[in-house]
Amino acid sequence: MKNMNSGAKAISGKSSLKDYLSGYNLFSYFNYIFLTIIVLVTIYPAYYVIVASISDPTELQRHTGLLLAPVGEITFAAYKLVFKNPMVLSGYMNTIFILVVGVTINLIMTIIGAYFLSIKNVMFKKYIMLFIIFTMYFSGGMIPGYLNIRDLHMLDSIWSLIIPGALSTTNLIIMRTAFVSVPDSLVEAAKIDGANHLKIMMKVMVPLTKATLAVMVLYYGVGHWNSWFSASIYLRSPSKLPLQLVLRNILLANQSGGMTGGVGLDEVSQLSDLIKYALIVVSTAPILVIYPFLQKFFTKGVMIGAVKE
Amino acid sequence: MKRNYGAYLLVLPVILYYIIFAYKPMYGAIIAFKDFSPGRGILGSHWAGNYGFEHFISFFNSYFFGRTLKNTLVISLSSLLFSFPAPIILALLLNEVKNKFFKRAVQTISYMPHFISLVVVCSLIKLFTADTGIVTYFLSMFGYDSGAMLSHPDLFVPVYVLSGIWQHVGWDSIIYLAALSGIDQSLYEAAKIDGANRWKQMIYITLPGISITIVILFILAIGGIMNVGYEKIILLYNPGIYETSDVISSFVYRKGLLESNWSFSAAVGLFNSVINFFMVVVFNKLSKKISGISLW
Amino acid sequence: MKKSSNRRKVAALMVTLAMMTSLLAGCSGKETTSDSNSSNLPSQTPAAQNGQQNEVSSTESTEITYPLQTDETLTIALGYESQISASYENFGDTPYAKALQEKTGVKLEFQVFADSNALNLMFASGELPDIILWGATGYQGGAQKAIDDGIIYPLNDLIDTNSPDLVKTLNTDKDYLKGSMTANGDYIGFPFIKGDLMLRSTSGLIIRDDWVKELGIEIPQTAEDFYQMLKLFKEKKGATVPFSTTSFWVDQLLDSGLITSAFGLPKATSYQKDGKVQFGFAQPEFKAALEYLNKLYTEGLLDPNYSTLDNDTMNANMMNGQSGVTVGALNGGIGNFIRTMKDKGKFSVAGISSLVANSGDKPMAGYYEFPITGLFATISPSCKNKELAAQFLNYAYTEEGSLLNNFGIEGESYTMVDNKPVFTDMITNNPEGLTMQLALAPYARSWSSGWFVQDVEYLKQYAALPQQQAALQAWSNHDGSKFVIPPVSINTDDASEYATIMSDINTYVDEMITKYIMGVEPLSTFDTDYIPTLNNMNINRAVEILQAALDEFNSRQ
Repeated sequence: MKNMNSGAKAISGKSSLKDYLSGYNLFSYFNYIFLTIIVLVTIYPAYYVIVASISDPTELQRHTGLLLAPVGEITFAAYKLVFKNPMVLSGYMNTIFILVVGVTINLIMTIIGAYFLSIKNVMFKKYIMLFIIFTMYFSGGMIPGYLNIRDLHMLDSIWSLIIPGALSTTNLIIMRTAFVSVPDSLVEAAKIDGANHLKIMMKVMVPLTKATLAVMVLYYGVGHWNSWFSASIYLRSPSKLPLQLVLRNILLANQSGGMTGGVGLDEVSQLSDLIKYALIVVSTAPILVIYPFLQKFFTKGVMIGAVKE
Repeated sequence: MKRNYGAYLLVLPVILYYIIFAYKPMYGAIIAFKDFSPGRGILGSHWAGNYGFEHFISFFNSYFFGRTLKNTLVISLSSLLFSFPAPIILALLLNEVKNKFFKRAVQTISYMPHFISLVVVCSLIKLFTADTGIVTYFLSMFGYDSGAMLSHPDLFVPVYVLSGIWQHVGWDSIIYLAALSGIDQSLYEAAKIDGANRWKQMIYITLPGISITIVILFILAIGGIMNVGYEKIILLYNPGIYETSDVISSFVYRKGLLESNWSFSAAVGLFNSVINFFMVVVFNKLSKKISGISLW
Repeated sequence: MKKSSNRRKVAALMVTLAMMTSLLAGCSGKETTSDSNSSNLPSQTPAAQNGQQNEVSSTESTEITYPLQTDETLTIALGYESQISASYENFGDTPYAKALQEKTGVKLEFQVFADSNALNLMFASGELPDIILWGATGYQGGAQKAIDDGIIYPLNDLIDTNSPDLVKTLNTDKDYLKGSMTANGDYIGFPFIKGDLMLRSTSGLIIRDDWVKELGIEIPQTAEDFYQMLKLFKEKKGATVPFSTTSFWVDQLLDSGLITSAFGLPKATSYQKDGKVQFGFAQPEFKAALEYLNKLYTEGLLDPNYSTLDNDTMNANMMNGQSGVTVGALNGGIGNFIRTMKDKGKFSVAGISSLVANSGDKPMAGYYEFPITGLFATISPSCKNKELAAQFLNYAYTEEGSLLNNFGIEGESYTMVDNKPVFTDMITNNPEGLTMQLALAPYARSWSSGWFVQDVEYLKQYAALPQQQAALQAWSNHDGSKFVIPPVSINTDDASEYATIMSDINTYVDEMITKYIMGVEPLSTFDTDYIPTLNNMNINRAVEILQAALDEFNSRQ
C-alpha cells in the first residue's frame, strides 16, 4: 500500500518530483565539481612528466616551482636517445610476447582456480583455499626460487618470466569473489540442463563476470608490462630483456657513472633528467592506449535479468 | 564426490603450479635460522646461534625495534583507515555520474599517477610540500606557517598517506567499478518505483551489491599490515624525522648497506609474515561470524 | 655436454704443454716485447727495469709474452653497464673487448650480471665463470670468507710465475699489497687501483669564486672566514640561502671532514689517529662543529630547508644565484655548473680545500678513497686453466695493458703526442654530442673500473675544464691518508655484531646531527644525553672490534 502511494506521488506529484530532482541536482553539482578537482589534481603528475620530457635540460635544471609549460627550447632529444638504443626495440618485442602469452595463461589458470574455489559443495575446498593462501605469506625467498628455475631449465629463457608468474593469488581471490556473486539460480538451472563443471564454468560463470575478467586482463597485463625484477635475475642474454628492464638500465646509467669503483666523477649527461621523464612516457603510453578498450567492460551495467537461459 | 570429479581435474594445474613454484622452494625459509653464506648455499650454511634464533633476537634487541614497529603499524593502520575507503568512495561517486563521457574521462585520468614512477612522484611531493610549495601555501591560508612539511615529524604520516591516496585512488577504484557494474540494474528500477531516493538506493542496493568485494579486499589489506615498503619511505624521509618515518623496512635497508646479511633480512621478513598471516586468520574468522563472507 | 668437456680437457693439456714450452723459451733469456700487432707503441721499458725489491720472491725474472699462444676461451662476468649496452648487445662486441682478446691472445666469453642480487644468486647456484669482476671485499664476512666458501681461488701459487706485472705493481706501494690480501696472507685477485691521490679526492666544497673576487675577499680557509663570506653573500649578493645543500651532502661535509678540521677533528666517521681507532661523532670536538653549523642555520646562512632538499633544487639554487656555496663532485657538481651556465652571464665556481683552524694549516681530511677500492677480478675455483687466467689478467698491469684500459685504442680513442697519450676529438668533442663518458665507454675502462691501475693522466684530460683541474688540486690538499682506516676485514664472528651496533648508532647519530643543527635539540644535551646514549649503544664495543681489525691489517706483511 505504502509503496503504491509513494510510487504514485513520484510519478504524478509535481512538488515531490521537483524535490527529488533538486536533491539530485545539488548532489550532482557537488559531485561534478569534486570529481573535476580530482581530475586536475591527478592529471598534474602526468602533465609535468610530459612537459619536462621535452624541455630544455639546462633550463629545466634551473627551474623551481610548478611546471606549467615546457621551459626553454622544446627538444625531443631524450626520446631520440631512448629509441636509438637497439635494446628498446627488442625490449618491446619481448614484452609484447610475454604479455600475450602470459595473460592468456593467467586467465586460464585464474578462471579454473577461481571456479573451483567458488563451487558450493565440494570437498576439501577449504583446505585447498588455505593451501593457496598460505603461499601468499610464506615463501622460500629469492635463492630457492632461483635454484628452482634453474632446475627446471628455465634460466635465461623468456618462459622464466611467464610460467612462474602464471597465477597471482590476489587476483585468484578477486576472481573467485566474482564467481561467488553469480546467482545460484543460474548455476542450478545449468545443472538441471545436465551441464558438467566445465560447461558451467564456460557457459555461466565466464559470460557473467566479464567486468571482473576485464579487470584481470588489466591487472595481469599491467603486471607483466611493468615487471623487471624477475628478468634481472633470470635472464643473461641482453636480447631477451623485457622493456622495463632495458629502460631501467638506461635510466641508471644516465644517473651515475658506472658501477662500483668508478672514478666517482658523478657523471651526469645533460639529458639525464629528460631521459627519466621520457622513459615514463614511453612505458606508460601503450597502457593508456589499450585501456579504453577494456574500460567499456566494466563501466557498463549488466542486466542480469536479461541473461536467462 | 563423483559429480565433482571433473572439478578436481579442472583445478589440478593450479594445485601443481603451487606445489612446483611455491611449496617446492619453501624450504628456503630456514635461511632465517641460519648464517647464510652465498657460497655455501642455504642447506650448506651453518645454523645461527641461539638455536637458530640469533637474528630474531638481534632484531628484537635493536635499540630502535620498538620505534620502527610502532611507525610501521601507525602508517599501515592510517592507510587502512583512509586509503582503503577512498577508492570505494570514488567509485560510488563515479557511479552516480550520468554523463558517460565525463565518467570515462575522470576514471581514465585519475589512474594516471599510478604509473608515474615513485621517484618522480616523491620529488613532486617534496616540491609541493616545500616551504614554497603549493600545498604549503594552501595550508598557510588556514594558519599553517612552519615551512617545509617534511621537516616535521608529525606531518610525515599525513603526507605519506594522503599522497598515497593521490597516487593510487584512481587505479584502486577500478575493481570497485567493475563490481558495481555487476549489480543487477533492474534492482534500481524496482527501487525507484518504490520511491527510494539516491541515498536509500546506495544503502540498500549498491553497498550490499559490492559488499563481498569490499570485505574480501579488506581482509587481504589487513594481511598486509606489516608491509610498509622501504622505497617510498626512503625517498621522503630525512634523519630529522626518523622518529615517525623510520619503519622496519627502511631500517633493515640501511643495515643492509653496512653489511649484506641475507639471513637477517629473511628473519625480519618471516617475523612480518607471521604477523600478517595471523591477522588474516583472525579477521577471516571475524568476518565469517559477522557477515558470513570469508576467504575460507 | 660430456663430449665437449673431454675435448676441453685435452685441449687444456695441449695448451698447458705449449705454454710451458714457451715459458721455458722465455726464460732462456730472449727479451721479447709483447704484442706484434700494434705499431706506434712508445718505446717499451721492460717492467724488469724498475729495479724494485720483490716482496714476493721469484728466483727468475719471469715475463709473460703477449699474445699468449692458446686456443682456450675464458668466461668473464662483469656488472651490467648500460653505457655499453646502449650501443652493443654484447660486451664482447666492443672495440675494447676485441682489442683485449687480440692483444692477449685469449678468447673471451662475457657474461653480465644485472646487479648484486644477480651476483649473489650466481654464487648460490654454484655455477661460476672463470673470472669475475666484483667487489670481493664486500662479500658477507669479507674476502677471506669468499675464499673459504669456494667463491675465490687465491692467487698465492699462481702469482709469481703467471702475473709478474701484478707483483711489480703491488710492490710499488705497501698499501696496494696489504689491500689486496686477506689476514691469512691470501691474494684476493687482480685489483682496481686508483693510482693517484687526485683520483680519490673528487668531491668537496664548491663556491662562487666570481662573487669572492667581486667582494674583494680571499678564498676562505678558516671556519670564521667561511662564515663571514656567507654573510657577505647574503647581504651583498642577494643570496637568500647562501649555503644550500642536501641532507646527504651535509653528512658528507662532516663524514669527509670538509669542515671538521677547523675544530681539530679529522672527520665525523671512523678514523685512526696513531693507530688508534676513533669515531669522530663521539669526540668532544664534534660538538664545536655542530655548534658552528647550528650558528649557520639559525642565521639563515645554511638553507633552512636542507633536510628536505633534493639534488635538483640544490643545483638550481646554485645556478640561479640563490646560493653561493654547495658541496658537490667533479663532474656532477663543477662540470655540470660550468657547462650549464656557459652562456648565461657571469658565473664561475671553484672547488676549495677543507676548512682549517688557522690560515695556512693543511686540512686534516677531505673526501678520500683508499687506492684499493675492493673491486677485484677474481679467479674462480672452477676455472679449468687458472694459469691462463692469471696470465691473461696480468696483461692489464703491463704498460700496454695500462694504455688499453686507460686510453683505449690508438688511432681511434687516443693518439700519442710527445710520447704521451692524448684523447682524440671523438672522445673529448664527440661529433654526435655524446658525453666523454659515453664516447669513451666502448674503448677503455678508465671511465668505470676494471682490473688495472687507473692513470691520473686520464683524469687530467677527462676533467679538462680549468676549474675542474684547480678543484682537484684544492680537494686533494689534505692529510686524509694519515687518518683514513684502510680496507680492513672484520673477522666473521664479529662482523654481524659490528653491523648491528653500527646500524643503531648510525641511525641515532644521523638523527641527532639534524636535530642539533636545526636547533630542535639544544647542544647542551650533547654531553648530558648524546654521549651517554652512544655509550649505551655499545660504541666502545664497536671501537674494540674495529681496532682489532686495524691491528690485524697493520700486522700484515
